[in-house]
Amino acid sequence: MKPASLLVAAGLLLAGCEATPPMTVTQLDALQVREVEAPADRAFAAASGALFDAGYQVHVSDADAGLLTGERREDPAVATNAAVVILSAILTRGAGTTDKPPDYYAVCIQVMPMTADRSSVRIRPFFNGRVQAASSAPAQETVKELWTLMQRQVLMKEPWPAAKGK
Amino acid sequence: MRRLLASAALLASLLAACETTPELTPTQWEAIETRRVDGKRDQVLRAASAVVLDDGYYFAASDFAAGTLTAAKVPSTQQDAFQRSGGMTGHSPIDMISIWVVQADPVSCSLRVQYRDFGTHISSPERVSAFWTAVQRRMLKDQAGGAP
Repeated sequence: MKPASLLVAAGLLLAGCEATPPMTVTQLDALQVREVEAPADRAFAAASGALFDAGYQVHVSDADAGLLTGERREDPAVATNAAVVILSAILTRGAGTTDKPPDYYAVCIQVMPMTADRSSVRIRPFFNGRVQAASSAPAQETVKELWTLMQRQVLMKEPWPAAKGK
Repeated sequence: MRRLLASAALLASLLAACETTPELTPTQWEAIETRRVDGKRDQVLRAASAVVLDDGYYFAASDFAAGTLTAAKVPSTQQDAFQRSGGMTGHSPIDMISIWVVQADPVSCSLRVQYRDFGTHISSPERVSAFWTAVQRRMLKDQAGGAP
C-alpha cells in the first residue's frame, strides 16, 4: 500500500474517533434537575426517604445546604466471582489470580429552594466513584427511580385534601 | 583525574539546576486559592455546590453553617483500588476539592478553593479561576430564574 493511501486510511479512522463534546450546564440540568411542589425542607426529607427506599447508605446529609450523598454496594454473584478467579488463574498460570471487586453505586442530591413552596432537586449518579454521563441509560434510570420514590414520599406526606379545611 | 573533576563539576551544576521551588507560605496559598464573588454567602455556597457536581465530584462532607464543603473524585487509574478498599468510606487515593465561603462584606463573599490531587496540595491559579468563573455563571443562571 502506498504511503498516501495509508495516510488517507489513518485520517478516516481518526475521524471516526471523534469524541462527543462535554455537556453544557443547561444540558446537564435538563437531564438531572426536577422541580417539586414542596418547600425545600420537605423536598429534602423526601429525597432522604427515597435514598433509604432505594437501599442507599447515607454518607453525607446537610439539610441546611440541601446536600445528600448516598452509596450502595453490590457484590458480584459467587458463580461470577469463581469464574473470574479460575479464568485469571489459568490465563496467568497462577501468577496473577484476581477476583471481581464489588461495585459501588452512589448518588449526590442537591435540593434548592425556588419559592416558599417550590424547590428544585438535582440527582447526580456515580458508579465506582466516577460520575456517570448524564445522558447514559443507567444514569437516567437511577434519576427516574429516585424521582419516582421522591414523588411518592412527597405525596405520602401531603396533608389529605379533605382534612385541610377541618 | 582532571576528567573526573570535570565530570564532578558538571554533575554538581546539573544538580544545582534541579533545586526545588520553596514551600509556599499560608498567606501565599490563601492568595492563590481565594477569589471575591459578589453575592450573599448562601447563594455563593449553593452555586459552588452545583459547580462541584458539574465537575464530577461527589460530596464527602458539608457544613452549611460554617460555609465549608469537601468533595472527592476517583481518578480512573484508582477505580479498582476504590472498589477494593470499601468505596467512599475506604482509603484509596482520590482527588479532593475543598470550598470555604465567608461573607466578606454586605455585598460580597470570599471564596476559597483548595485542590488536592492524590493527597498533594495543588497550586493552580488557573483551576481556581475556572471554578470561580463557573460559580459566577451558576449564580447568573439562578438569578435569571433557572434551576440550580
